[in-house]
This record gives sequence, C-alpha cells and structure tokens, in this order.
Amino acid sequence: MSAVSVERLTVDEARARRLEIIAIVGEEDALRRRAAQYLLDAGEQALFDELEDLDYLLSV
Amino acid sequence: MAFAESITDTVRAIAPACAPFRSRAISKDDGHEGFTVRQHPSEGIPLTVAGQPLLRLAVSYKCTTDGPGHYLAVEESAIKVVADGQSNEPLFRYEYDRNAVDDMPAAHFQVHAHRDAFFHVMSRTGEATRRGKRRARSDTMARLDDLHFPVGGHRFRPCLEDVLEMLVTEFGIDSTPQDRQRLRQGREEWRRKQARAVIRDAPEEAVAILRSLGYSVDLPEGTPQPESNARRLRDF
Repeated sequence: MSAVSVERLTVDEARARRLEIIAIVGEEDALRRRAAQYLLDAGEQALFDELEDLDYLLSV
Repeated sequence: MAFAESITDTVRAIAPACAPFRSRAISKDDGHEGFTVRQHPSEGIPLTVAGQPLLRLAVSYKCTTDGPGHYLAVEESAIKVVADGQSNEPLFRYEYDRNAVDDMPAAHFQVHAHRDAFFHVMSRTGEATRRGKRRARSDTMARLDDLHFPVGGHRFRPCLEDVLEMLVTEFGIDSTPQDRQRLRQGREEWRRKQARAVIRDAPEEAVAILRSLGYSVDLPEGTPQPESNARRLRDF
C-alpha cells in the first residue's frame, strides 16, 4: 500500500495556493455557506478542505 | 509523517483498504511549525457491513508543537460519520478544539437529527445563557446539532480508537477480534500519552500519588516548584 504523503509549503506557496482555490470556487463566502449546509460535491469538498488547511497553516 | 501514518494504521483496523492519510505542513521563519492530516478521498472513507458500504468516515487533525516546544499538540480534530449514499450531512461528529471558547466543551460530539422531543426542549431554554439567547432570537428552527455534549475536555477526550470501536459495536462494521485488539492497544497508548500530559498539568498530584505508592519523589534543591496548569484542568 502507498505511503502517507506530506505536502510541505512555504508561507508564500500557501498564500498563492489559497488564491488559486478562491479563483476556482469564485465567492468564498458562498462556498463556506454551502459547506456549512453540507451541500458541496466531492470536488468542492476537496477544495474546501484544502482551504481550511491552508487557513490554519497560515495562522500558526 | 509519523502521526499521519499512525492515524492511517488505526483506521485500517476497520477499513483495511483505506488510502493513506494526507498531510500538509508549513514551517515559518520564527520556527513555529504546523501541519494538518486528512483522510483521502475528501468524501470520506467507506465503512462496510458484510462487505457492503454503510457509512463513510472523515477524519481531520490540525497540529502544532505545544507550549514547551517539545511535544506535538492537536489544535483541532474532527471525526465525522456520514451515511453512505445519503446526504453529506454527518450522522454525528466528534470534535476537539484546543482554543474553544469558555462555554464550549473543548472535546464534544454532536448528533445530527431532528427529533421532536429535542425541539420541544430546545425551544424552551430561555435567555439566561448566551446559547439560549441565540436560540431564542434565531429565525431558524432549533437543531439537535446545536447541542455540544462534553466528553472529557482537553486531556480526557475520546480517541479515534474509541469512535472506531463504537462503529463496530453499534453498527456492525466489519472487523476481526485481532482488529479489535489493535484498537484497544492503540487506545492504551493514547491514554498513556494523555496521562503524561495530565501529569504536566498537575505535577503535585503525580507527586502525591507516587509517594503514596512508595516512591521517593523530591525536587533537587534550588529547583523551582513546577506550577499546575489550572486553566487546562478547569476548562470545559
């Protein structure tokens, strides 16, 4: 079975990726509202999860 | 990496085909480090009964080093269980937030259901508390998942093994006696780690117990008395 993958980011890379995600999803608030109502499809959920992770990592 | 591998191994006790968990990490110029660990795929890990998918499991952790800088600390964790093939809304979820506000249990579980009895009670909680006020003044119907059930605070919260074993005992998720044993071993390891953390919170308690057991425990002369972490002990 394949091993755990670790994606290591610099602060600049995390910020850039965050901007990429927002560009893909459009309005962040709308995404968060739909996430709170469990209305995201699989692709949107993956992006939302990544956004959550990046926000946390940038806050550390 | 080791933490993500450990989580993957734990979940494989009831989902042998579970894909490896994924981690994202960041190191800042001031030396702080943080990382996240999440299941793959994002829609959750399938859990089966007699080989047929019944549930999906989503697990996420947000971690950093703790105050002394020696130990990995979980800042937030979430374990969500969803009915497979139904809505994406969880049936229930276990969550932990190291920085929870003072009227929120740091470790809690929430059940997603709309039962008449709960609604009846929750519509009558008055305005004596912040939560009661918010509920009374809201335009939307009260929900069962508004309730936050305490489950042990920072140090005594359930571990992943607890949830997985419950899925086996309550929902009949496929597992073997050996798998159950792995879960129990993992639980013991978790609780031993937490015991060490509790001792750091309340060293004087550890000293008292050890002395009662016959140990000789003394601080070297001139060493400052370690302080209790009273806040951790009192937090909801």
